[in-house]
Amino acid sequence: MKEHIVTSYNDVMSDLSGELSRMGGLVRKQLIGALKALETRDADLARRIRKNDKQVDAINDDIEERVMNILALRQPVAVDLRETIAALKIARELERIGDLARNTAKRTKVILDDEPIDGMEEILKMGRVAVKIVEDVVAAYEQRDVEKAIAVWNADEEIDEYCNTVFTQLLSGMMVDNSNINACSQMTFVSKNLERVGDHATNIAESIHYVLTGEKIDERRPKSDKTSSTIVQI
Amino acid sequence: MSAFESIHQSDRAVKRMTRRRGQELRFRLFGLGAVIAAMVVLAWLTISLVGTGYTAFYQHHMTLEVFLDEAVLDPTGERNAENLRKANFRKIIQEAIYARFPEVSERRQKSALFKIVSASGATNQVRQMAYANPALVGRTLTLSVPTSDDVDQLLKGYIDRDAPEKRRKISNQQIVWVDALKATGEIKSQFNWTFFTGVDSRDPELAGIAGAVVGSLMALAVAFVVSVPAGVGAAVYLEEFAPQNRFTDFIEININNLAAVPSIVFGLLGLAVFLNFFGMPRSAPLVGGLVLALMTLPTVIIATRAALRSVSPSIIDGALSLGASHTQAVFHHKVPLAAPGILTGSIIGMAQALGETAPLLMIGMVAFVTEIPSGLTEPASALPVQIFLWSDSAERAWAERTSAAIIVLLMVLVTMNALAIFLRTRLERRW
Amino acid sequence: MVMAETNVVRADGIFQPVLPKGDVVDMAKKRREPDAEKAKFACRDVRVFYGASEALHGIDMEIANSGVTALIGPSGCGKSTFLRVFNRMNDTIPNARVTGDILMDGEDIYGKKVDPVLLRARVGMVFQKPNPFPKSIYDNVAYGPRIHGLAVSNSELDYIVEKSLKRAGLWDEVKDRLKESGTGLSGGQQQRLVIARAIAVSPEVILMDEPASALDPIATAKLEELIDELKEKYCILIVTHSMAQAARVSQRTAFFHLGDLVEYDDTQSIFTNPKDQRTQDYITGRTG
Repeated sequence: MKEHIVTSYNDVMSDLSGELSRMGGLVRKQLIGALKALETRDADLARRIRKNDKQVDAINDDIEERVMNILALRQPVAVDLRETIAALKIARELERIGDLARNTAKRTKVILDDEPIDGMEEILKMGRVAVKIVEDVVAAYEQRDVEKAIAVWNADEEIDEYCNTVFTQLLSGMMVDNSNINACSQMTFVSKNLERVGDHATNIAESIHYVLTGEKIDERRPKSDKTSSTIVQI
Repeated sequence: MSAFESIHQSDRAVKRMTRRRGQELRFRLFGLGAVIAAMVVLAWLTISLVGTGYTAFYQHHMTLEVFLDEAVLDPTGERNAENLRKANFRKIIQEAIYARFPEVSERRQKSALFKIVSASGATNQVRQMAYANPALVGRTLTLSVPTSDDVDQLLKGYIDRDAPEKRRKISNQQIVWVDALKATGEIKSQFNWTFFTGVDSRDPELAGIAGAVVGSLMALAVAFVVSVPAGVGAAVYLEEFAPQNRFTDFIEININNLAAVPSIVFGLLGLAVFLNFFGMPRSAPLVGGLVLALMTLPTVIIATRAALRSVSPSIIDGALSLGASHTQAVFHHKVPLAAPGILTGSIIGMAQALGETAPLLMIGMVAFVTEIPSGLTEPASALPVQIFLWSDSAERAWAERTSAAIIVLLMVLVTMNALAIFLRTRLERRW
Repeated sequence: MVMAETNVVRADGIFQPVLPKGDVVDMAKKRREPDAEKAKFACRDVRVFYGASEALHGIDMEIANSGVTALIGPSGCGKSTFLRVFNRMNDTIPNARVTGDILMDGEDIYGKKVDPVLLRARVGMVFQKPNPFPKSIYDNVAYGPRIHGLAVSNSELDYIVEKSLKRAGLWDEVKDRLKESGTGLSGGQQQRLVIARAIAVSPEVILMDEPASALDPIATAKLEELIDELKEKYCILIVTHSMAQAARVSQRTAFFHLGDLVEYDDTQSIFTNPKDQRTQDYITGRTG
């Protein structure tokens, strides 16, 4: 991409994407932290994650302001316009991922009150996939890599499948042993959170695709989340 | 002092600035000096002209009791024009003067006495009165007749009374008479109408510029009628319609050259073409006007083309874009907008023509003409030529008349230029 | 401000003709609505030469019957030259030569039978600098109808002048001073006067060569509002250096670069997702 004739325009645009990368890094750390708190049963870490979400919100506000300024002062068109609008949307998606990390951390407190439950391994695996997707989508944004974005977009299916497995497993667990019902029901929310992380990452991948190619990914988004219709046969 | 020293605040910067201001000041002073020099020269010219010329605007007249003696004028008593034309009016005037100074009896003294009045001026005056009204014969009239130019000059102070008698044109005895008449109020000065209504004459006290002015105006009218339509037409054609090629370039160069051709060459041209080839009359305002028209033509063409070029092309684009043809765009918009410039150029060309002498000399408008021309083919003089002629005459009285005529000419030129400025500011429209 | 202006222009719709006689009134009734589907102009391999140098290198382009087509591009890209092809104003420049076909409603406007004077009555033009004639407002508008003999009577001429000024959104501002000089108006009013002057000849196409470049933002907004109103009835081509203006007023945008038509597409596509790198670099202000 060639430079703008007006250097300050260039600076403003690269500052915006830098800020977005920083936000992506922070959100990734939040997500990893929330999963780690779950894995190591670390209530203290979970509390710190909940508190840190304010930083994510702050970056989101900052990006909103920058976008507003760019629209008002530079009247961007074409690739600049797509970039600016995408920044706003991506920040929003990242902020939601941050919220999901915080929500997971919040639920960790309840989960830690109960004994460790079955299916934790699966959830953590699912979490690692979600983290990978977030990492990939942030990298795709930073590297302006359409292929990578499409890969993320397709990988969401994997997470949806995990979600289905975990959901069935948790339901079966609760039926077998109702002593952990609190933890298990919270866990269903955690798995749902992770599934939502995948969705947001997919949205980000779509935005990246639009920025880079000027076109939407017009195939239907792969949807394999069947939790809404899952019932466990007794 | 600020944290960093600006290169525009250092001592060297102050020096540079001082030098720059000095240069600019010197240039301004130089310009001012040039203007002042020009003004001084102009003022000098004006003062010297007015100083010598203003006295021509008044003239001394003598009040004379004239007895129209029937015995002298019309001994037969028939009162017919034939008798009156032959009659000796000169004697009547002589008698009138001798009667005023009865003590003078010696012949040479009488002759000197008669020289106080303008002989032909007074005689003509009385003759015309008698013609107009033969019944006046036999009566005594009180007339105001012009004094001779020498008496006039004496009373205006141009003749040195202390000079030896032989070296002035007026004798001691005459001075005594004139002073006596002046003291009694019989000789007094009055506004010199003759200068404006009279025609050229051998006698300065009777000479006027009317003939020359009328001749000039006629020539100018001819020049205007010929050169402005022809010049404007040529300019519009060359500027707007003529194809751009070597031939039109050649014409353009020649028009520019023509503007720089000495005016006497146009006179020679007029002599060769109008007088010798077409056989037009000599000294006629018609020929003078045609020659002046030829001379003014390049000026009019150049001024018109410049005025046409100064019209904003956006106006023409506007007209063309509405579907006006090129000719319509030119005549609806370009020429009207250029009109103030065309008019100014024409008037300045005319002013130039008015002041021109040389070409008129060549076609004979230098003749001694004692009548106001009544037609374009009548012999006539022109104001600048009249000035040229008078300036060559010996008598002191011609000098003041020359200056006075120059003043009149300059006034006309200033008026024409003022008219040009007035028309330009009045007609000029902004776009 | 702008709202009030809108109402003024809309008032045209309810204006009742005082004089339902004469050519112009008849024609106005009969006037067929432009067929938006059909192309007004079809250009094939249009080249313009100034002397030996080629300013436009073979343009192929179709221009829709109604709506606004914007021509954008850096200075010297040939967009103004291209605009002047449509009313043959290039004819007035010595040494300028146009080759290729420019069909207007299927007829070659450079054909031998076409009189450029009549063509210019059908294809009006508005210039960069407002250029009202130094005559009264009335005479400015009446000039075109007068030279083409469009009005049979003075009252019909009055009707044309009033209608044109109304359509140009200028009537309410000048109706009490029609006898005053057109050059005494403000820049924006002058530009709208010039548009009224063009409309008065009942053209089918209006060419605009950077019409707002000398105007302030309010005058520009009024002009753009006017263009928006006019695009229903006229095929409008506008050359502009303001990309924002092209984006605001046009439906189709053509990007010219070094005498070539680089990209021609819906305005929306050009400004969100240009296909050509040169277009992208130009509209986003990148070195290129």
